Amino acid sequence: MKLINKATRSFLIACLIASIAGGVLCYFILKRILAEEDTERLYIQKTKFEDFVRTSGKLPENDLPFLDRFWIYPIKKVLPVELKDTVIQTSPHHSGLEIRQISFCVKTADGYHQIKIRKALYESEDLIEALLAAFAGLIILLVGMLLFANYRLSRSIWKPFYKTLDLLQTFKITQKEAIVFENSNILEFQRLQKNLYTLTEQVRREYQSLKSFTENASHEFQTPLAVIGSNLELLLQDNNLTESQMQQIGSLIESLGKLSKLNQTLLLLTKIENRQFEAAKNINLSEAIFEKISLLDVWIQHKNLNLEYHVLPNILIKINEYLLDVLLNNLMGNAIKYNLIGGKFYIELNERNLIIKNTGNPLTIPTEQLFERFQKDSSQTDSLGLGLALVKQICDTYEFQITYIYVNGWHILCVVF
Amino acid sequence: MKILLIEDEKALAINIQKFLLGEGYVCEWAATLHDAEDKIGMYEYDCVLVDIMLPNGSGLSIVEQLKKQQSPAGIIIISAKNALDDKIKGLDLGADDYLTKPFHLTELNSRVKSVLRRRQFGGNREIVFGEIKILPDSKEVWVGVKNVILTRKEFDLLMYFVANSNRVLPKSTISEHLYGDEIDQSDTFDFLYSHIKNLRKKLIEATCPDYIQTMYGVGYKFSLT
Repeated sequence: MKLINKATRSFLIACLIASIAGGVLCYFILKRILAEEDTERLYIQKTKFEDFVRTSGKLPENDLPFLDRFWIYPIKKVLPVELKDTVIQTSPHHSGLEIRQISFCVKTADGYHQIKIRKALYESEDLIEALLAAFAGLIILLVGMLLFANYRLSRSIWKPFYKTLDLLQTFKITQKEAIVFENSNILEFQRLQKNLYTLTEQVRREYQSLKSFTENASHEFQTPLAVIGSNLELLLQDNNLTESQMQQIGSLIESLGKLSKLNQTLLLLTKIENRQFEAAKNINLSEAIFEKISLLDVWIQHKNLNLEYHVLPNILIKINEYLLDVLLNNLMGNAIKYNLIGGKFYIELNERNLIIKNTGNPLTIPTEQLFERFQKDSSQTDSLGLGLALVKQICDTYEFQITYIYVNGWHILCVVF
Repeated sequence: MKILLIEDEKALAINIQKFLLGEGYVCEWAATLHDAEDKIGMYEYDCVLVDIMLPNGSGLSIVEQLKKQQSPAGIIIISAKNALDDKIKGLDLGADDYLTKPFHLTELNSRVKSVLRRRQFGGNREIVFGEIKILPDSKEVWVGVKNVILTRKEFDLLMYFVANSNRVLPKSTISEHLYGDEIDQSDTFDFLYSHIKNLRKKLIEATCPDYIQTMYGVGYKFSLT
């Protein structure tokens, strides 16, 4: 839910509750005030009536200008003053009429009379209704105006906020320049931008230093490796070596090769993780696969594999060229490496996915650990256990889905673009 | 042939120097950028090996300077910095080749030879080794009057053998030369074996003596005896 809508909704709910409560309260207060007014008026009329009787010594014969309608009943003895609300039936067709009536006694020469003065209440009801209608109209107008003003104001106030959000969305850790926010005169936004600026700058700098660390670490590792390697190579050319010494040096060179490969692969993983391979372009995957097949052909023949492929031509994917190479090397290399002698190797490529299948023995490690670093099949002591970790990392970088299953003696790896 | 080596790591420089001297080259060594600038200002070299990361600056400036002087020297960049940017920048500046540390001395040797060959003779020289005659430019191999048809990898393998003849070449070094980073090294031994078997067969079929000696447990040696 958008911020504006959320604020507006709360505002609307508050207005609604306030106006309903206010309306109800207003109704009762008005009703009470008017009721008191009516009662007071009846008492004043009573006083005036009594004054009239006292000064003139007789009962009024017809309606007096200051009085509501009244009725006179002769009575025998004095009755107490009584005020009551009642409903009288004026005609059988209409509903009752609410009235308030005061009854009291006056004494003339003719004896006692009970006087009843009645006042219809519908006038006050009408008044209340009119007042409430006016009140409601006012509220609606007020809320409407406030809503409109609030909405307009919110939009202009939050504008820098949304701009900041947009800027932040396009921020890349790899970008060379600092992020530049649009100026705002609102203190909170200024603080937000200032903090975001500090944060992004920090992240950017950390990243840059990590990047240079990666490269420096590579340098620092590789030079000693190069020194050891060159020494071993020179040593190997010595004519006085015995066969077993030569074999020992040969095995040292081999191990050294593995160590430097390991170092390179870990650095490569870090680089991919750090998204240091940005230059993705559209690459013809079909051709890349054919090239790789021809490169691996000797190996495929060596293991006497039966290769079958269904590769649609000119399938393009957006990826860094080098990383695609790493990806295919590992996927296709594994399919040969872990294959049985005389086994089967199947490649399928279409617009949606790349499927690589090979026959082979089941994994000795749990499937879910397959893509983790240094997880390798126990039968493959030569392997570094980094190949599929690389594959996974590359797939994650380009948001490809990769899945592995083992069915009926087939290892099946599927990459969905 | 005169080679200048610009490398700050003394132990490595000494080994490279020793190896290249063994190949019959004159090899001078400069440990600093300043030293290197002096040397290329004073002498002519056939080939310059430049480390990019030097203590007081980038080796790329040496490449620039050589190009400014219109030096005929072949340039090979050797660096631990296998950052793609540097590689592209180095080759754009006019370097002939790029080697990433750690590299094998035999690998460096074959690159130096190939650069020198291209520089001095426009790539048209033929290489003769015993009965074998190689035309690197057209990638043709002749044994006597017989043309031996080799695959790309087999040709690469033969060139590497010839460049590093009479040396013990460990399997890992050869397969790294053939496949580079393309395939996990441990996987390649099997088909290195296939390549060598095929190459040997083709050469022997063309009545060429078997120059490929198997050094049990280590690798191979290519020599006349």
